[in-house]
Amino acid sequence: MAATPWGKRIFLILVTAFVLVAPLIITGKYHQHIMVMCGIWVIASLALNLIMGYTGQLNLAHGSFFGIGAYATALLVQNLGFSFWVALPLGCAITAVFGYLTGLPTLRTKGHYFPIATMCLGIAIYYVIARWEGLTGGARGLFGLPRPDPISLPFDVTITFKSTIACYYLVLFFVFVTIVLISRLVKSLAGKRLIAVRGNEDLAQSLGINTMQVKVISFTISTLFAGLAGGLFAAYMGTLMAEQAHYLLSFEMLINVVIGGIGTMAGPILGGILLPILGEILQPLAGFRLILYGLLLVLCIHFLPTGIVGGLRAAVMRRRRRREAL
Amino acid sequence: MLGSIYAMVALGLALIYGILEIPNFAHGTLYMLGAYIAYQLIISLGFPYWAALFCSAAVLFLIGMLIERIAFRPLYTQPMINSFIVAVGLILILENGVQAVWGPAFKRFPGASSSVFHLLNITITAQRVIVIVTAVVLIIALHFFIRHTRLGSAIEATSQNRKGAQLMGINVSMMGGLTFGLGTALAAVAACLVAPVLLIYPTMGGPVIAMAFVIIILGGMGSFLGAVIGGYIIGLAETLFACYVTTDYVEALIFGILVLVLSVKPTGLFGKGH
Repeated sequence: MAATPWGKRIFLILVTAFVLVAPLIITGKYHQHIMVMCGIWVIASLALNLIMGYTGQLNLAHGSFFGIGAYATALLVQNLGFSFWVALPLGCAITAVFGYLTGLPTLRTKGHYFPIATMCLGIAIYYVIARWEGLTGGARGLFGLPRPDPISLPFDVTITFKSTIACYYLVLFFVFVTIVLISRLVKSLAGKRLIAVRGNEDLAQSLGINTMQVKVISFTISTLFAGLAGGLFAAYMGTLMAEQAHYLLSFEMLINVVIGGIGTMAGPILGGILLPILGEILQPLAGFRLILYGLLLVLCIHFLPTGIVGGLRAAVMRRRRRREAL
Repeated sequence: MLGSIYAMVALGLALIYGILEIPNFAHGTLYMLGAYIAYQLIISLGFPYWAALFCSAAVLFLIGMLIERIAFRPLYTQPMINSFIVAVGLILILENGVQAVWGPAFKRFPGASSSVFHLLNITITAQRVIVIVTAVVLIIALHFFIRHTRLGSAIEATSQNRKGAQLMGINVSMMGGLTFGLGTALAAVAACLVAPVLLIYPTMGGPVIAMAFVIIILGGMGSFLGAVIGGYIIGLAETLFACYVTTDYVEALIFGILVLVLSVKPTGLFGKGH
């Protein structure tokens, strides 16, 4: 792995410092709430990018896996009385097992089957959650979920998660975990395999890569992090509706990734922050917001298929080349 | 009756897939749009049912051609995933557009006839008979069009071998647009036929598109015969499941069928294989 250039390193340190002190600067409760939501979206978008951006398989059920993680965590806490700290990893595990089991038959074939199958799956999961009154509360949803239990540290220090700031740092912690794990995975040899499958599946197979295994593993990890984002969402919001597993949610995550920059690490992070903020700004437009998103998506694919990050990179490259030419 | 509707929607989807190799995720949304356009024509302009159905099909034919030209044609040379994403964008635009114009509520759609037949011990409404008869007539007409007219043969040739067709002097881009329009119009007719029996609402396309995809995978991607037969199989399966088991988890059943097909015979009943 090439050493990170100094400019980039300083930039990353500055960004990290900013997000660490951000809630001390931005004190409005509403703004802090948006910051928590951005963190959750960043985790979900990074996860989607792993299967979609790096492995090249369009998953249209990502929002449903988010929903499964959210419901699994919430139900473990509410119905079985588990502590949040046990329920969250279990919720992620349940989501990942579900992802693995659906990945096996749907990733077996090449080409168009996976997006089609995941689209059907997304619709199926949504309707099952919306109608399974006994377990999920059906259309009424679940409410009154507790925030994560306090953590006791030595010297009589306890961390509680009652305030929005505490939740912000909790989510931020998991954002960092997700970024570190996914970026390490992508830069490793396994990551190269993913990218090989995206580039040309037949070629990758002829080079001795077990493409089916690579796709299933990538998909399982992707759903695991979707479940993580869902579990955090459930604990933070305290209420869950079937809409949290709707295919529109999958589409919104897709937009985050595509607009930010598909197949890059920075893209989903940028998209996961920018688009929820844009969503809040466009709140008064109600339904028109999604029409606008749809238009944005179509225009982006036509004119900026690599998203904001890809576009910026291309611009930087052009400038560098021009300077070298002089 | 459900089978007839599914067969028509799936046939349109299979036509489009056969030529353009795009799984058009927005097909269900266009189906929904067809129903709303006919609804508007009947309610505000007082069109008779059949005229509204015909106009809606014509409008959707043009919209389909337009979408193919503007949204999909420039992407043929790019990775497939881009076309999929554009289709998702179209769903967002159309579904929320319809919701903005007509509102999210269910709407009642007046049918061609409200009479009821009694045959032996079976009671059946006239609209259901109309659905079945129209679907069968249309499917046969479409078969005739593809097999026995020059234009139809050109479409079939393009779907079999795009390059070869091009060498034979067929305007393949034109065929792509025509097929997209035709498939979309077919979806609109299906929606107008079924709308008086069910109700119409902006998200009605979701479950239908899921069914239609499972049907064309069951029938074999791009196979016309497979789409029709698959449509009737899935329609029947859904009705039986709803009748004897539960109406709540029909969508899960459909996904189950999909998983079964993908595990046992991914090329479907009448697929050409990879």
